Amino acid sequence: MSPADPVLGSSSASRTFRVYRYKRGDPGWRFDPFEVPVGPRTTVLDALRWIQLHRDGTLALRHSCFHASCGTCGMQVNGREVLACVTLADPLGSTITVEPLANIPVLTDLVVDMSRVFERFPDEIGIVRMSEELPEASPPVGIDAFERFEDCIECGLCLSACPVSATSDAYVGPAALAAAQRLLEEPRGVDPGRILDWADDPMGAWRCHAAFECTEACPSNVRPAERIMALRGALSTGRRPVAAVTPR
Amino acid sequence: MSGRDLPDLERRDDDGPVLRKGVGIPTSGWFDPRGRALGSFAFAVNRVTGLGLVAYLYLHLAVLSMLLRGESAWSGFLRLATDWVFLSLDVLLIFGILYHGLNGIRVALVGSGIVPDRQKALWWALGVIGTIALAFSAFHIYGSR
Amino acid sequence: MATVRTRETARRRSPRAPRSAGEWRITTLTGLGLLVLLAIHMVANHFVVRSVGGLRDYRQVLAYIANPVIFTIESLFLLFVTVHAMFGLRSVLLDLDPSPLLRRWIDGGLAVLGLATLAYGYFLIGTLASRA
Repeated sequence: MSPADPVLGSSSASRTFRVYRYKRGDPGWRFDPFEVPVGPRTTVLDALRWIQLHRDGTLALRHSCFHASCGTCGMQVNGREVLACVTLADPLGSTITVEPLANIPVLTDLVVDMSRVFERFPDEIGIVRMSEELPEASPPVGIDAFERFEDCIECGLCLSACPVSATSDAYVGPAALAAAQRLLEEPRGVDPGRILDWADDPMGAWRCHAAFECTEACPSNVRPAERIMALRGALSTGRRPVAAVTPR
Repeated sequence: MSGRDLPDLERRDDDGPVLRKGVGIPTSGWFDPRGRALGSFAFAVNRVTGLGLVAYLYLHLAVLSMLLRGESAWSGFLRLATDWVFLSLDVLLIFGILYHGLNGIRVALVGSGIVPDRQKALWWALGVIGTIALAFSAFHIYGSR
Repeated sequence: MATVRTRETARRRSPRAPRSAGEWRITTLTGLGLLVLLAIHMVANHFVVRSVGGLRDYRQVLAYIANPVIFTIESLFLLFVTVHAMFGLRSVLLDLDPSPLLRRWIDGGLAVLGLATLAYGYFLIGTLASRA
């Protein structure tokens, strides 16, 4: 065991991580236990990377920015959807269960097929973030035609948390519906009627049952549930929502 | 590197496992409380009370059918229906009606885009009203015996 | 972060279904109607008559349902509760991701069930009212 690490702490503060494991070709999934040293500032991502470095190099997971802006490290920790890079391990108890996001096919270990999240978005949604319009980014001319839902980091936590998605893969899900509502707030050349038509479907806005788990899970203050309700208000009354859904 | 194929971007035919909330039965994912907040609890109880009330609708029609058989048949049912157990089931029925009705107000308002950011406060406020109404009803029903 | 994506639209099991806002409106309006009708029904059948549980005996039931105002209210109540129940059941069943064929069976089956419920219910209260 290595000397005490300023982030990971000393070996006397170890926790048991039960980590979901699955590789293609395996007959099924399993949980592998790992004893991981945890300090007061150790995040779940730190712990998982420690496992990769010191215990099992075959553990597969996605991460990128380390500060909750990319949405890549979304997973379930003790049954709750979180971004692992900003979730402290210390308060989570002596045994910490780490699983991939729910309702999305697993590719391997903690990695899910995020194309199943991206494909649910309406076709009118662009693919470039606001940050890429900063002068330093030297964006190409016409890039504003591709601006999309600024707050959403497409992490998939909302889809994993949604109780309706537990039984329905056809439901487009909170992120896509919230993005559609955002397009109604600020169409940017998109026909609002097409967005309303897209959402007005049994597997669109009407599949939501107001559990609000998506808003609870969202790490980016998108408030998808409130946006879905605003979208339903627009569908119920046949008009575009006038008031924007403001951040808390 | 030349001649090397790009990764296949088409849909995979061999999807890996999909984690679902619940205990292995798909519909149990609607009711799994682990890691969930108030809105899920409200939805789950609304679903249970709704399905319960649908079942009760047909049970009620079946019971009322005894009236077609005349006074003695109905009197026989009344002797059963005034038992403590039945009165308790009446109170349970009233709980189901109050919960589904009052939460239904919340769902109707929120689901139509009216005050969606007050859904928790609505649940608590209507819950207080429902609790008072249930207490009054239970007192009256048990007190009638 | 720009990402490469396939530009597939969301996978739906079925072709685009008819607009669904009307179903929400029906469910909501019948629900709101039931708040009044069900309250009247429950008060009248559990809190008016001085008996255990407020239940009416046979003659009291006949006298109750023979009242034209009560008959109208209970008829409306039966209609609203049946419609609300059928749409509610449909919503629960749609959560299970039925195929387009199964969805048609569900719609048809619930329509038949609803009509049968109304038919029997109206037969029941009509027969009882006629006996008073």
